[in-house]
Order: sequence, then structure tokens, then C-alpha cells
Amino acid sequence: MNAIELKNVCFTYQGVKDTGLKGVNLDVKQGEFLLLTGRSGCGKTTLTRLINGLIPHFFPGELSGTVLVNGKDVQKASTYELAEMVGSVFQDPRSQFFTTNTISEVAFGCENLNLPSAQINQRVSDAFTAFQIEDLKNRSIFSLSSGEKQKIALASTYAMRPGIYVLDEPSANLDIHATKMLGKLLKTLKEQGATIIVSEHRLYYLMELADRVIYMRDGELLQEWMPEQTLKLPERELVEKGLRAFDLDMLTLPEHQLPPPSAPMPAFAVKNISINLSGHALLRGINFSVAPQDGQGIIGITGANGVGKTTLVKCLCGLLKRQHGSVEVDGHVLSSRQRAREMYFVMQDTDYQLFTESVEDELRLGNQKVPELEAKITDALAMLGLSEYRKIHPMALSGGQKQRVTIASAAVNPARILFFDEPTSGLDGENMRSVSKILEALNQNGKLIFIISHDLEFLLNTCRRIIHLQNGTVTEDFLLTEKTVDKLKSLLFAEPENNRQSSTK
Amino acid sequence: MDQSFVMTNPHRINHIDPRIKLIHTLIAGILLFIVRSNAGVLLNVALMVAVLLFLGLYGCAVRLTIYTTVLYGLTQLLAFTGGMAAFIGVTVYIFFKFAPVVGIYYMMTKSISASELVNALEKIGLPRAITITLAVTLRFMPTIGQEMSTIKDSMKIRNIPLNLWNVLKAPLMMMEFVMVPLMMRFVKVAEELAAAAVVRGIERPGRRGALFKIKVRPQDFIYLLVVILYAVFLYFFESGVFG
Repeated sequence: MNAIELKNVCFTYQGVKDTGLKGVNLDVKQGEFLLLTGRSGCGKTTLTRLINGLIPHFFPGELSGTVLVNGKDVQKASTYELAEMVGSVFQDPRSQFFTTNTISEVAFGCENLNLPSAQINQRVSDAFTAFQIEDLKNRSIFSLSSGEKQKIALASTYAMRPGIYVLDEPSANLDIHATKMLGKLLKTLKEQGATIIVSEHRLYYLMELADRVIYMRDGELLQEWMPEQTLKLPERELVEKGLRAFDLDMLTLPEHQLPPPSAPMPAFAVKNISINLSGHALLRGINFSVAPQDGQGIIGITGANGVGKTTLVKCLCGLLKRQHGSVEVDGHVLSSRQRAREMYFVMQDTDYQLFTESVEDELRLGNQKVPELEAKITDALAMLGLSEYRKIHPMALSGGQKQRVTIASAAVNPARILFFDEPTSGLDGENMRSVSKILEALNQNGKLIFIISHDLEFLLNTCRRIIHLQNGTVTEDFLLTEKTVDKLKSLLFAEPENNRQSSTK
Repeated sequence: MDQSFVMTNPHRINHIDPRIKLIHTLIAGILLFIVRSNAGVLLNVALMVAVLLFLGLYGCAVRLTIYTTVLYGLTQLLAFTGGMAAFIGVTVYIFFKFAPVVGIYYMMTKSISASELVNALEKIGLPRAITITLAVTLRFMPTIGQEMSTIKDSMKIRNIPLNLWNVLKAPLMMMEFVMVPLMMRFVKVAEELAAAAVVRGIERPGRRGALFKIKVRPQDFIYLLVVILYAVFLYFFESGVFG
């Protein structure tokens, strides 16, 4: 018997004009590992929701055709019956936890199933052992990194012993090392005979595990590959299909060379910055400088999670006041208030950065004193492909569009030095490449850009210099050339040192 | 099998059933009205310190002691100086009188896990709709602070910093700038959490299982007995039986 059977399935979300899925037929065998990919909005998340029953039980809409899970009709089955058969892990590790402690979290699903206490204990204990995450036992959820949170999320579904696992972009918020660890856990599941369906933009870490790769477009299953075949796809086809690389080893620097920026670049120097956070020296003696004649307009800041990249950037742009050392722009030492004016920071999450009722108001906000503001707004919207959305409410936009609005407000702002925190987490290949182009255009207009990222593909596409942080200080600072590509790869893949701050209370 | 789940392990001698702690909270509430004298408040706090020490919350016990001592010292000092200071003294005195409640707060938040509380409340007979909502709210509370600080950073970058001057100049607009992103986050997190609960079988009717069986054990009765006897003692203490 097939674990999952979809016959001629069509689905349209309630209140949405576009059809989510159009006549999908799919059989998944017991123990098969299926990788779903395609552009954002192609319907892969919708497909996962059909399998775990969130459609139609949680997200209402118009559903036709049949969806069978272990022979059971999803439309007729109850959500808790499906919960026993299908385990789900979602994209955002912050919003899938109910308790504050890892053990009670792993037990949560089993408690819902009303298993006897002894059995719950056994299963919880087994889950920690099977994934070799005993070190995460009895920890506060708030002390976990994103990667650790995803491990616990997977362990908590594992404890419910479903035969089928559905994961919706589980690596979106993880760094390369944590993504590799996630791949390892999925391997354990596969070896135990589980049926696994992963919807993803990042494909490389699943290449050894996947039995089939399915490419979706506009709600249809367009193409199916064996993993070996995907590795032979020419780059042109990946770009055209909006996909990310299947193999990180193959990545090289782009061939085109950027012309030097047309506007004069600022000179920027960071001198001996040290930051203490809650009595603990997070960063010490940070030094680097960028001269205008260097022609390095876009610089990547890398380092393991928790090393203090975001803290450093917050400090540089004046959000965080307590620090030693100085920041100079064009040879002048700036106070943190002046820095807040000279620099601009685009945060990772767009939810926190949209305040107003239309895209154009969003760009006017806080920029009243900018000369020729309206002309600048028109330019920025045109550059980011947002002109037609000028009067639209920002919350009505897609994730990628929202992010472009936040970048547009950085373009309108008079600040000459811009910082971006993980601008490509959760983006498909197409959006990732477009962010890369946009940053290049901003740079051409005379903005010096720093990017915090662990997205290798994006860094190679965009940056010409890498500053790497480790153990609270700059350990590597190099120009990105053919010769240093491998160095960047090994830095990103390296196992992080244990620089987690006080993991236990 | 390893069952050393420290914080919520009910096999330990100092684990008290959450239902007993709820009764204790109720008694502490009544005592607030009964205990009027400074000495009575101090005695009441002494019990709370002892309880916190028994539960292994040493840090909280120390904080409660400092809180009470400082406030008690201040009330004495301010009453002594008189005049305007005595007026401030009233406020300080109110905070001092509520010191036992601070102890209860520590006990309820630091010694009971969300899961345990939900199961206890369900045993009392509260419906699932209330208990799960409560659990998720408890889980969500600590993150509000983080969300707020991110929004404040974001406002500062956008040149609309949340400071006193801006709040006085355009209070409604500033409120909007805080509330819009905060509400967007709440809606999003609420939907995602609910979906995550559904796929983990929350909608299953009937009884819910528990990682640890909740059972009232001898030490629970002893604990309750001590709390009640102490309350009775305080009652008589206040009515002046002892002199």
C-alpha cells in the first residue's frame, strides 16, 4: 500500500482568487523520501498541508479529488487520527512550542494521545536517545538556538511514532552546520523506514537522502528528477526555474565583474570595539576598515550562530550604546547618535519593520527631512519592482515583496552605510538572486553595504570581501577571489565552537 | 531508565502538587486581609521564605528577604522623618504589605511547569479550551519582552524612536507604531501555534495523558497542614491572643 495517494487534487484557499493546487496526482511509497521544491508560492506548502490534514481541517477552502494517508481519506479523518500517522515540523522554530522545557515539549504530543505515564516517559527518553540529543534534555526552550529548537520539534513528533513525516522548509532559519545536523536526523528517520516529505528551497543537504525530487510550478507537479539527475542540471536551468544550487561544492564566483560605484563611497573604520553583554565579554578588539578606493562595496560578515554578529552590527549603527572603541566615517569619530543617522540596519524579520498603511507611506516614514523625497521614493520603488504596489497595504504583500519594501526604505534613507541581517533566509533561488542584484544596484548608488549571512550561495554571488568572527573577535578578513572560495566554504561548514552563552540557567 | 527530570520531577521529596499550591495561594490571599501589623507581615514573609527554600528556589528566597527588609526599613525611616516623607511612606507601606504575594508569585511561576499546571487544572475540572489557552499564554508571556525590544530597535532605525518626547508629541501615532507590528506578530504566532497544536493531536477528545501522574502524596498533606496551621496562628496573632 502507498503511504500517501493524491488523486486529481485541486485546492483553493478561502478568500483567495488563485488556485493553490491544480489537478495534482502523486503516490508516495512506504519508506520513500520525497523532496518538493519550486519558487515561493508554487504550492509546495499547500501540498504538505493536505498530507497532515491542516487542509481542509485548519485552513478552509475548496477541495476536490481525494487525499489518502495510509488508505484513510484525509477529509473524513479527524485531525487527531491524522496526528498519530503524520508528524509535522514547520519553518519557524519560534512558534511551534507550547511549553518552556524541552522534556515537557517532547512529551506534549504523547500527552494529547492520552498514553499512560510510563509509556510517555519511555518514548520521551527514546526520542532524546535516537537523535543523540541528550545534552538538550531538561533545558529551557528560550536558551536553545534555532537549530536546537528544530531538533526538539522533530523529536517531539518522533515521540508520537508517526510513520510519515512532513517538513515544511525546516532549514529556513538554520545556519549551514545546523542544516547538516538536521540532515543527519532525517537520515536516522529514513533508516528506521519512515516515509518523509520535505518541502525546501535549500536542496543540497538532502541530496543523499532523497529518492525523488519534484519540481512544482503554479500549483502543478511539473517535473520529477532522480537526485543524480539534479546534479547535472545546467546553471542556466536552475536560474530559469528559480532554484537554489543542488550541490554547494560546485559553486563558484560569478563571472561578471562589477564596475566601480558611480557615486563616491564613504571611508569606514571600526577601531578596537569591545562589547560586554550581561557581564560576559561577547566581543573584544574588533578592527577593520574600508577605504573608498578599495572598491569593496559589499562585505559579508560571517560566523557561527551566537558569536555576536548581530550584536556587533547593532553596536556599529548606534542601537547598542555600551561599548569600548570607536567607529569612524570619513575620518571622523561618530557618537552613537550620529551613527544612528549615518547608518541603516535592515533586520531579518519583516514583521517588525512595517508600520504604516501603504507602501509609499512606509517609505516616507521618518524620512520627512530628505530632499527630493518623492522622486527618491519613485526611483526606489521602480528599482525594486514595487511601482504597481505603491498604494497597497504592506501586509497584503507576499513575503518577498515585504522584504523588498524594507530594502526600499533603506534605499530612500540618506544613510550611506547599510547593514543587512540574513536578507536571504527562507528565500527561493529567484528571490535570493534578485536581492543580490538589488544590493549591487544600491552599492552602485554609493552605499557601503555589510551583510550578515551564512548563505554560501548568496555570499558568493554578492560579496567581494568576507569578515569572519570567531570566539568574539575577527579571525579572518579576506577578499573573495577564486583562490579564497574554498576557504569561505570551510569556514561556513566548520563545526561551531561552543560559544553559546550560559546555556543553562 | 533515566527519569531525572529535575525541575518537574514529582518523585522528589520537595515536589508539591500544583493543586496544593493553588490552595496555598488562596490562603495567602485571605491572609492579606487578616494580617495588619508589621510583625504579622514579617512573620508571613518568613513562612514564604521557608517555603521557597524548601522548594529549592534559593535565589528567590534571597530576593524576597532583601525586598522585605529594604521596604520595612524604608517604612520605619519615612515614618520617623514625618511630613511629606510620611506621604511617600504610605506607598512604600503598601508595597511592603504585599511582600508575601511576591513570594507566592515566585512559587507559582518558578516551581510549576506549564504542562504540570495544565494537567492539574484539568483534574480540577476546567475545560481544555481554558487550560490550553492558559498554557500557551504562559509560554508566550516571556517572549513579549523580546518582541517589544525588537520593535523599539526597529523604530529607532526608522527615525521614529520610542522616547518620552515623541510619546508626548504624538501619543496616538506612537501607540500605532508599537501596536501594528506587535499585533501582526501576535496574529501570526497565534496561527502558527494553533496549527502546530492541531497536528500534534490537541483536538483529541477525552482525557489527556501526563508525563508524570499527578497524585496527592503524604508530603502534600503535611505542606498543606503547615500552611493552614500557620494561617490560624497568624489569625490569633493578629487578634492579640498572644499578648
